[in-house]
Amino acid sequence: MKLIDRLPTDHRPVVPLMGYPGVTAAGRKAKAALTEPVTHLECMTLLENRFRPDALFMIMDLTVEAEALGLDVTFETDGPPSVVSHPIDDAAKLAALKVPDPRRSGRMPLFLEVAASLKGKLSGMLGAYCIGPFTLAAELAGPEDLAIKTITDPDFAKSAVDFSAEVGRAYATALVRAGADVVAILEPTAVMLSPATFEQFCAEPLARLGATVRSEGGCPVLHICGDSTHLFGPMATCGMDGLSLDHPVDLAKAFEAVGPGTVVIGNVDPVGVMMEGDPQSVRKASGILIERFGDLPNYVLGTGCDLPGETPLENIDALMAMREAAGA
Amino acid sequence: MDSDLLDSIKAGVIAGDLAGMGEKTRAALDAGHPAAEIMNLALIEGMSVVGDKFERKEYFVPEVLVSARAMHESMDVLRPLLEASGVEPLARVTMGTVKGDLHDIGKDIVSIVLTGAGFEVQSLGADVPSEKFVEAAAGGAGVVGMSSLLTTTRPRMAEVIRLLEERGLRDGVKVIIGGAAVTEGFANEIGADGYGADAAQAVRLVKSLLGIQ
Repeated sequence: MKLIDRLPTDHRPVVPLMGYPGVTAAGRKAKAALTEPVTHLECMTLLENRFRPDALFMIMDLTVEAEALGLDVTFETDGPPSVVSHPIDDAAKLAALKVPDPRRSGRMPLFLEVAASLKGKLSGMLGAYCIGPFTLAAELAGPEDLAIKTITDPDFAKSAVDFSAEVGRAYATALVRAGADVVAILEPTAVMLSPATFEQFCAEPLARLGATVRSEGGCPVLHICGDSTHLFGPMATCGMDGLSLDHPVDLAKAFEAVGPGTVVIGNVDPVGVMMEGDPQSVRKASGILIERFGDLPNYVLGTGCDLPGETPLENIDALMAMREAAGA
Repeated sequence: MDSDLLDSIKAGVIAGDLAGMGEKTRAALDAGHPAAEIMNLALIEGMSVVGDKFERKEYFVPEVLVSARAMHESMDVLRPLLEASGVEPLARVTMGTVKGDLHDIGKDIVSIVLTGAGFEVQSLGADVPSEKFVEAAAGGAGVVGMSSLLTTTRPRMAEVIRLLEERGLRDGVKVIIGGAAVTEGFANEIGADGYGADAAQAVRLVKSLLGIQ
């Protein structure tokens, strides 16, 4: 079933991306939550019990796939971890990589275990993340080097993105089989590309990854951070069930691009409103979104991007309370 | 003198044509163009066009990065001559991503566009210890720019400003911030001189802080 057919009909769907506030609320460290299944599950349970979102996403981690491929990862900041270096800078090193088995590679098994533990126990859907092909290729080769190679060495760039899509397909398949209803494909690095470069390198691999998620019975959603307005056209051709969009974009343009069968999720400012604001400012920002888009059946109120761990829980309460607010 | 050589270098920067930039630069020097002239009329003007194209969304990050690389091919030839002749840039800007944060691209694009606007930009890279920003200010940077993409690292920005105050350097330097983890409100809260949401805003901000038209 497509995402639009799985949305609740008795209230407005609200889906904040709130893994890190869950870590903070549980009094845990990010590293513990991302290395110990029991700690990850504790954070998830806390979020489910307090907020009962229409989809509960696991804690975002853009390093899982790169780490499973052998790259070094740091948890230094007690926020989202980072890939330390990007050594896959030529075709020979790329050719030496193998698609990891998600059941036994790096921390992929942790996310599979958490998904399996949460399956059937949530009030809404279970959401998982998987890195987008271009973003993983950028972690492998280095974001600036990959950007340059889209022009100076397009064969390498294409191979790196294609390989990364295969990594994503294996991992996303395992996530859906473990219990994820929705897989959000995180493609933040692609925001820097022109529409033509996005079409050349990203569109087909994303469509392939999305089709895999769907064929396993999951709902593929594409998330790109920042101002992705220039990419709405090609993003809409990737066959996703939904687009999750960040706060700098005007969602009206996204609705125009995707048509009524595709869900648009967004886009309350995660830092300026959700983290720095108070419940009143959350009500104001989300009220504006509901006034504009609240009567569209393919709209899901959400945060533009992953919420920082410093986000006050009261602000998330205020966002969740909008599920009862009337539309325009 | 033949200005076709300068036009060709400028065109090479705009097109991101990496091949031959060094040779063309040496040819321009041999033809009698001073290094400063090549830098100003070919490289900076070329990067200025690149910056305009970026703001108009004709160019995106990959195109800008390749143009910058072409410019550096030429600058590598010019640098020793410029240093020997003591040519002064509009102002020196030091840019870096704060300690703990490994995101490079955003602040690099800002650096490139600032270069195209005539500023000398010193890049400290990513994961920069606060002390390094302070050293840059002590070394004569007119502007210190800091980037943060992770909210867990943004307290470092306040730390840099505090260290600048403690060393008596704060009045001599403008501090600007940017990146997805920060806002205008945060800039005010920590006492930064300004916030830029993108590269074009950063250039306008630096010019206005330094009183440059």
